[in-house]
Amino acid sequence: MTLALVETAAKIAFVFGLNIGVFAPLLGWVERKQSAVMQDRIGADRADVFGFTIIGLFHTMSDTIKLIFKEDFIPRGADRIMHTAAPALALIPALVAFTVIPFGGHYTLWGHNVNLVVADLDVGALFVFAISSLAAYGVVLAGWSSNNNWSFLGGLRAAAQMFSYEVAMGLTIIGLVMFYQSLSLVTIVEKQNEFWHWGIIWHWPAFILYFTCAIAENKRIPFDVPEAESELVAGYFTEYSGMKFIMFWMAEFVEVVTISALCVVLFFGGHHLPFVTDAELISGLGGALYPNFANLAAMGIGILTFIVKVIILIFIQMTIRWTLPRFRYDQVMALGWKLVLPASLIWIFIVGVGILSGIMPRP
Amino acid sequence: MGMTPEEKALGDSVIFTQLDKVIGWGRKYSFFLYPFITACCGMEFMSVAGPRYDLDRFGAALPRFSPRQADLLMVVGTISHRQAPILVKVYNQMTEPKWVFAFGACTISGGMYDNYATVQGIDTLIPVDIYVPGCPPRPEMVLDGLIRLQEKVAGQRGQMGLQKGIAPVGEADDRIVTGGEGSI
Amino acid sequence: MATKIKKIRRNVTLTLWEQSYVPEILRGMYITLEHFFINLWGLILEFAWSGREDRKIATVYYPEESVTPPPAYRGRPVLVLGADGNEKCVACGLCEAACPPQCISIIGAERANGERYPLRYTLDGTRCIFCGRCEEACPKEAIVMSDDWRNLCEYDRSKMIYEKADLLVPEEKLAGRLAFIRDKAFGKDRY
Repeated sequence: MTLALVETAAKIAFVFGLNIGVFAPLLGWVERKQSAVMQDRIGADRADVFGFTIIGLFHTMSDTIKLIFKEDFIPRGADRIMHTAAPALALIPALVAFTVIPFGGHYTLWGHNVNLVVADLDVGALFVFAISSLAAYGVVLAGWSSNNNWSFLGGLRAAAQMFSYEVAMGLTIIGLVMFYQSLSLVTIVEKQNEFWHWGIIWHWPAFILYFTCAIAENKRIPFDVPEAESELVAGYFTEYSGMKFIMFWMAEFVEVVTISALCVVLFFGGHHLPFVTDAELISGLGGALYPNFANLAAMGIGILTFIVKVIILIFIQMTIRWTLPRFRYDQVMALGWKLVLPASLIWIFIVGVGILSGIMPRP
Repeated sequence: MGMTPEEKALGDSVIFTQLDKVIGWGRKYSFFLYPFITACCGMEFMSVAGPRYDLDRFGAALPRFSPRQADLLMVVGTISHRQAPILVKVYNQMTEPKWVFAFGACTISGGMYDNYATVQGIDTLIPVDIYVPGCPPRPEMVLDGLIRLQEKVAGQRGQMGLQKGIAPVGEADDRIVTGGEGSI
Repeated sequence: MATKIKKIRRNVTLTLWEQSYVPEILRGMYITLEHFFINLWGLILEFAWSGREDRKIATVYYPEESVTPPPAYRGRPVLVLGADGNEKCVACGLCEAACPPQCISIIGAERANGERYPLRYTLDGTRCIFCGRCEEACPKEAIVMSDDWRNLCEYDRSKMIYEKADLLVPEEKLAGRLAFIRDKAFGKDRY
């Protein structure tokens, strides 16, 4: 009993430590540096500690230090409790959604069965979508509680955009669920053991649709109308400064990681190396002679593969962010309701026909 | 910057000076700009923020268009008397700590426009931390100014004393600063 | 008449594939990624291999590097110090009259041998717009726009009022600029 508790605590610490401690500051650095190298310039690289500037990584530290000591501001006439609670409501769902995402497979270490996911739910996919839709509350509350016209407009726009793309996002996954016959993310990853069973092979339209909906849900460019810099001052977080502002920022980055992780789990085989199944990996590392060591090494390789795939998808999202201009608001709505939703419904139909007729062989 | 009562009591103890240095380091390498651009100096600002003379190298690249989130108010371009209340309002809306960067001759002293319509130096309205002359200043001069401002920010003592609720400019008489002597 | 006529689609209705914006997005990403990888390769080469020449990005790393301004560049105005240790200025007041923001103020006096000289020469650095009219107006080549633009920023506005002592620069250092203005006035390209 205590062993299970320790194991869960270790997994939670790993997941949240990785998210908040590594990925969120790193994404801040990536955003500046990647945009800089893309734009023929060099980004932030001057913050130095004792003369060492490690390609600008200290700038995230200086940003954080500065924002901690900035004045904490609540506008006059604003609802104090809501104003303070909104950033937390935006950040927590993005972190919690990571609890059902498997970052590794099943390994047997010293007789104990380790499943590298914090919570092995039977309805993992549904859980993720349900929790992500809570993030809309944070945004709407932020917009409304600021007692400011522009924040209010930004919050309204954000609410409409997030709700319309959530509908389509759920529907794009149904084709995959029919294909893998399970809602549990752990089962979906297990079934992607072979390379030809990866989700991207048969379901690449669903990947494009899901990626679009996820970026729209996260309010990243090209869908960052709620935060439209040239239109709404700063949208729904105009009246936020200091730590609350950085919580919104961090929520956006953490959600980038969550989206990438979900795409990896659903479409790109999770922690599996391409063309190498789990069993082959363990036996290749000496599974017959040293089972514990082989399992440990396979676990390490699995986690590393997962992280590398997540990083590649983050890179793609950042490239899209720095390449595309912002959509107009009516274009965003038209895309959501008139293109993505019918396309996802048609894709469900096509997948159904394919499975019943035997064209798409189920793994 | 004011000093908290604890700082006044402990004076120059080594904890506070080291903390001041760390906070000063953090603040100097991450300015969030508010570019208050009105006129031709904006061209040079764009050039400074562009790839050739990159403002992002000093950490000062993210323009936050909300005064609540910005640290550095860069006043770029001529300020007329009609624009002056807007400038003061934006300055009052900024959260502490904040600094003001007077970019170009028009903001330092009215520049070429010594007439009835132009404010003769924005330090008659708001307290200014660094003046960068030029019409418009060369991008390297702007970066010079930013480096000197970084030295000033890093050297400030009492960094933890945030002044909440200090009287906004325009209501307290002792915040109005007259221009330097000898201006013609 | 021999030019190829390019057919332009007017009144465009997008095909379904185009309406999903995917081809355009991929084309845009190709362009930015091309820039990204070429610049990244240049940075890696510079760090690990040869050095500055391999760098493909356009940034000038001020304050370690800076751009040499061209000969016509107008930096801060300086008074020329002649070889005999006196300034060349005769306090005629033409620069004071020509200055658009009226930032120059001169009080002249006479020396024992009859030469005029500026007793007090004040240039208001807060108002100077670096236009160069003082240089054009001066009959004695006594004030020129040097190519110096460093260390002009101040914390305090009153320190930017420059007196004669702040403005004097020996003639040898300004040889390039003096040659330039002579060429402008007497060279074959003068108007």
